Amino acid sequence: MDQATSKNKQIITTLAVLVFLAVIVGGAMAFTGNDETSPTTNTTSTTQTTSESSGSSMTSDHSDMDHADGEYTASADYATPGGVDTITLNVTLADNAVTAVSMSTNPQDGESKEYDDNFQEAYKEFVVGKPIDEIALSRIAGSSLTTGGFMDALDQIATQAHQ
Amino acid sequence: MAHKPTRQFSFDAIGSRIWVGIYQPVSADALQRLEQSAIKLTAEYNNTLSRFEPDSWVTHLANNRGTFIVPKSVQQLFLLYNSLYNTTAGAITPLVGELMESIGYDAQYSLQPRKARAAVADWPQAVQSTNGYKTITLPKPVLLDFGAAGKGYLVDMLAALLKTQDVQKFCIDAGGDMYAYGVTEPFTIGLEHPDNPKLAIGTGALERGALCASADNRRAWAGVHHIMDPRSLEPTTQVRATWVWAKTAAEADGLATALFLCEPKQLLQDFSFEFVRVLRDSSMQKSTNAPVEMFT
Repeated sequence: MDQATSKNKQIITTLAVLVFLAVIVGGAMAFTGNDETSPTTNTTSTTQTTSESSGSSMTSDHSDMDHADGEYTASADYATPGGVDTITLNVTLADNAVTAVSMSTNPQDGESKEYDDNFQEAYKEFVVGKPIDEIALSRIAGSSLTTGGFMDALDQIATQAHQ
Repeated sequence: MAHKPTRQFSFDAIGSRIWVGIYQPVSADALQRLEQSAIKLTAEYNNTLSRFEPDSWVTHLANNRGTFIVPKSVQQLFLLYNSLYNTTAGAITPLVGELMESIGYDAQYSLQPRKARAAVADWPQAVQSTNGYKTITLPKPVLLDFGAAGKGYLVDMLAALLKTQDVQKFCIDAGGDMYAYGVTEPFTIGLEHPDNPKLAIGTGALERGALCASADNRRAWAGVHHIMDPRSLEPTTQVRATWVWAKTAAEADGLATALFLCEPKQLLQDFSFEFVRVLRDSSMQKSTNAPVEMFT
């Protein structure tokens, strides 16, 4: 299996896992919401939003096929005592690699919202850095820019430390 | 998108750089007047609230006890700090002034932490309010520090100034504390990596209102940094960086600091805001509607 094919498999697997996760989580949250109602997952759908269509299907296993860059969305509905909620997972692909994964929900009542908040906390994501000059930005926000005095003082301390 | 302002100016103040971008036609004369008023307002703010200024009102409070009239321009800031104090159960308090001095964050930037740390007094006892902070009574002198929300408050004051001068489309950036007003398309803001200012860990949108950032990397020295926990008298360690979107920059700034000391849920009980927070292990937490795209 060449590298591109294995990458393809990886992407398909990732998406399949995400759809599966959407269903499971939907069910689990519905279940947590009310013990008397059995979890019902009504619909599961996967859509792709991208300008070009390469004819790729996320459910097929054509591992030699290239996936178009873009954002892929998988969503699942699930019933809770407060109404039907939807969980949506977004996966962004670029050059046949997953570059971003995110999850969103639209809880219909306060109780669901609390469970969802808890879930999003449990769904741990780790940040990675990208070079700032490769992104079109208006401004940067981080630790307060320091000017004058503080940086001079830091330099002095560094100098003293070396003496 | 990357906006280009029609006019802009910037100046160094309060240990940082303040940038103002204007997105409507303004004459050169009017721009000069705006810049002068902004610099004057910032100097007045500094002469009131800076503990580094020998003649400031805050320095006066550090050397005297009794009852004092709170300058009208900063009464709202006292009210905000009082709310933050209550919500955070004392984790945010202006009474960290002496604690900051004892780690070397002083007027001379001596940056030499002392072994003995100054304990932090009880806010309602140490600074007693009358009529919603129109006046305060100090049983003994106190050294106040408004580092948690003060810069955001200044940004709000500058925004109010611009609005009264008929500027209806602008953005103010005081080194990571921003406020946007009247712009037609949102700004794309790079969220700086807490370990490397050349990297971003995501982008955030800012259209109207404030976005304030806080991180422990730049103002750090000799094993400490500028966000101290008044309960443990130690610098915070679990959180690396925070970003908060709120209606005012003072709130966003204060909450960005508070997220280093408290759980988001505790703050969401009393304040309405969106946030992103990066923890020590590079994992991130964010509110459901935070306007961000994170790189994960």
